[in-house]
Amino acid sequence: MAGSEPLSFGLTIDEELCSRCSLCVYTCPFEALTLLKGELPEERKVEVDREKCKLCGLCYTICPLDAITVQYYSMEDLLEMARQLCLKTGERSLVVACKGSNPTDRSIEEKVGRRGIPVLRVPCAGRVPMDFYFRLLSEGVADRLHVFPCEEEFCRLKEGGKISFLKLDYLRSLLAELKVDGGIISLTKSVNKAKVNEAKCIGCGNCEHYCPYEAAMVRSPGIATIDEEKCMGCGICLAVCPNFAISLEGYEQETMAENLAKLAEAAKRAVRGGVKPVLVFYCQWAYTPKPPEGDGSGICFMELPCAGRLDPLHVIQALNLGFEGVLVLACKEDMCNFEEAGAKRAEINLSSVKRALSQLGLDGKVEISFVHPKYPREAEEALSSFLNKIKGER
Amino acid sequence: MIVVKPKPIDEILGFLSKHKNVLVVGCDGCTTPPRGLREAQTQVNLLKLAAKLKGISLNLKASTIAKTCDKHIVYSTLASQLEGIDAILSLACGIGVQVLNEVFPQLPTYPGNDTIFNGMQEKEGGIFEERCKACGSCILGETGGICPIARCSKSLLNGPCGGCFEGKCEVTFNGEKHDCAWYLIYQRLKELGRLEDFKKLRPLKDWSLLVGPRSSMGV
Amino acid sequence: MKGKFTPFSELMKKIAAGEFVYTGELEPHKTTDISETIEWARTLKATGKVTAANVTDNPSSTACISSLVAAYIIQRETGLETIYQLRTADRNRLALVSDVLGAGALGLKNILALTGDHTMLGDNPQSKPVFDLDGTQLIAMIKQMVYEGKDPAGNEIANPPKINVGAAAQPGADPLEMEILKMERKVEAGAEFFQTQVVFDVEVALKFLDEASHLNVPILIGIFPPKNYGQAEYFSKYVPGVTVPDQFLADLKKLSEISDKAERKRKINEYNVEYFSNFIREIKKKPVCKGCHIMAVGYPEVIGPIVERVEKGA
Repeated sequence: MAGSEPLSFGLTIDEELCSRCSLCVYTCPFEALTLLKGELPEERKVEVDREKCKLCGLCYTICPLDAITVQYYSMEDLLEMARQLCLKTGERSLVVACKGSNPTDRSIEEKVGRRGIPVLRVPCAGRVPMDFYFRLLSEGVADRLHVFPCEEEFCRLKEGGKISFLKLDYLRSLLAELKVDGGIISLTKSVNKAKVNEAKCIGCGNCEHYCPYEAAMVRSPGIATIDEEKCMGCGICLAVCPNFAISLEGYEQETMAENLAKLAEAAKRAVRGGVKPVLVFYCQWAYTPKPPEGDGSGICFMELPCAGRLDPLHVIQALNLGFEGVLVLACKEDMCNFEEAGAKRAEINLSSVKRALSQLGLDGKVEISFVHPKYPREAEEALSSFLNKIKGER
Repeated sequence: MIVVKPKPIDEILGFLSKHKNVLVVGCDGCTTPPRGLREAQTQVNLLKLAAKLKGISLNLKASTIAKTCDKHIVYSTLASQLEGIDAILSLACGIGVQVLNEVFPQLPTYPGNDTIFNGMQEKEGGIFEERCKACGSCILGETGGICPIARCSKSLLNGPCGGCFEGKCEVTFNGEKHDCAWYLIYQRLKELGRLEDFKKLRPLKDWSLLVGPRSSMGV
Repeated sequence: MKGKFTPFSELMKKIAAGEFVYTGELEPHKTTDISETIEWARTLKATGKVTAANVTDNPSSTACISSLVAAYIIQRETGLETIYQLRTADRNRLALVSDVLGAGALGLKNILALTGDHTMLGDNPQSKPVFDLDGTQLIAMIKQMVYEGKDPAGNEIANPPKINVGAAAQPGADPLEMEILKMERKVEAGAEFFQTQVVFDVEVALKFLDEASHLNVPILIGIFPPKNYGQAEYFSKYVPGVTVPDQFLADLKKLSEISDKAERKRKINEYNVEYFSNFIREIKKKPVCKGCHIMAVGYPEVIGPIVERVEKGA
């Protein structure tokens, strides 16, 4: 959904549809909505405080009149994505998972009983409206839903976990009343946390030094441990571990290397088609890429749990594999979901790469853009201006 | 921590261009800034990119050693990895580069980094600062735990000199003014109620303890 | 080596006799021809009021002609006693011993022992900084040579030099306590006199003299009568540790706006004479203050008049 002006805020309230019922005002966990009073009827309207709003989507869920739209919760877009996923895999079961929870393949397999189930990632499973789940089932997109929201303590969007449990429980009881097997929706609390492979750990202490949550610790005789209670899965420790001894499912060194190799094929195709291939590393919170039209765009995307996971090694590998440009999309520092450390870490990591690349005249090929997740157009703008820059270079 | 900084790529390619198959070896010993396997792999990729751009053909492999300052460990780790290799690029400090040359004299080992100082790490941005010059006659017990040999630009024993202004040293490094070590010593000793230690007239230093090459034999 | 003291130089003899002394400043440059400096020395001597003049040693770490050589030539040519400034930034202890023995042989009678600015700040920033000794240790070394006839390792010196040794101090230091502790160290090492950095504010000088009085070592306060507003402003803005009173700056600014050059010069000279003679009269009241070190170079017109005004008004 495109905003009418560039950089438009990711949440809009249609004043004509809005009945001023104020349900959203009361429900907002961040107190970002207020009903403005006034003499004239035009003056009474619901206003959103852009500073406080976290775009969690709860108001969108609760609004009885569909007067609120939230950027990445376009119901139609999500349904379409789900539809495509199920069609591509031929599966009738669908996993809906929070971005943050990022369930491991193993945990999905444990729950669902087999592999290969398509996974639809939404920013927060708790914020997606119940309607969405209904429609997935009623429109025949899927026959079974496995929802993997984050554990309460792990939720980065405040109370999303709790809300999702309440909602889904309610949903199941509703289904039961309709005499539908409540088991078609399952709920599994999930987390994706970093783990240390002790055999590879050399006890250098980098993880402890850079962890924003004080979850990683190195003690004599020199093996790192990660406190499960504290780890928030940002992946910064992976980027600073000299021996690749830490893993975060989906984002380990091997997985990223494999994914890069696959993308390299796409890059080669683009070059054959006369297009300059570009790789975009994006923080999962900063940006949700739309699948590019056709195969010829040459833009490839690699998701990071947090921009701080960005490994300069991967940037250089990307250039070696034939990408003409590498763009990193990170959240603006004050919006960083990881105690502001992620954005800062990404900037520092990237500046060290750029310094090395500048000796080869290549520093212009690598850019980092800090975008505001609340202004979804910023990411689009950053991407298109980077593409233009790369295209324009001979 | 022995702190290093990367050598310019051109200089490294200058060493390596006479060779065909190079083993880039990291070091896990002092790993911040990281010099382990990750750094070796990053360096391999960077050199591949550079070689491609300059039309130099070079085969590069990455490896690492637990600590390069130990001849035995160096030998046992790398001896089996040198098949077909005609040069080694070491990311260790100057010590490691020399050890590799001694342990494998048949192969040239080149430095990938410049060794710059012994220091400690601040949390913000991982910046390192020099703390010890290995001068051989430590006076930290008298100066409240602050070393004037490493942290005073002039390594004075009876400072501060006239160049201390607002607690900062007159010398600028990379645009930054660092704290006057003697001002820090004055403040610390005052805090500890030991200003008589500050006032003490320290006699001439034995600088011959810094003359190399030093050895721990008979020490 | 506190306590041991024989006045060898004119400067120290006069101070010992209770006189209030004036010293000047000479700064020879990167040349083999120091006739300009010799001229200035002659001018200083001609005032009849200046007892001795300092000869700078690689000032601000710029490589200039050897101060040992310059101090000797000037003293020989003009008869004005020199204070040989010796900094430890550029010489190890062997070279320092050589130079002090050389000074003794050449008849130089005063040394101001300094640490010296860092070599990185000068015109040859890649030099290897020496600092084998610091200024304080140099004082002790010279005293040991003079009064015990020994070099730093205890080796005998044949015919020890007869030289008085002084040190520098900074009245505007903050915190002042740290500076006083440093001075105590220097006195412990054997400093026989102090010459200070430039002071414009008499209150700063008086407070400093009070805090330093217990040292019982003569102190010469440095002053710098500025030729124009620009010089005064430079000190105020760019020289660390030196404060210039607002009134002084304001007055000078007004005077510098006089359009007639001769009139302007006359007025500024008169202002300086008035201001600094008052200044000196005040500091003289402190017993530990035994003199005034006039740093202004190339401004002979005021030195004589200032001193005369002080003597008259006393």
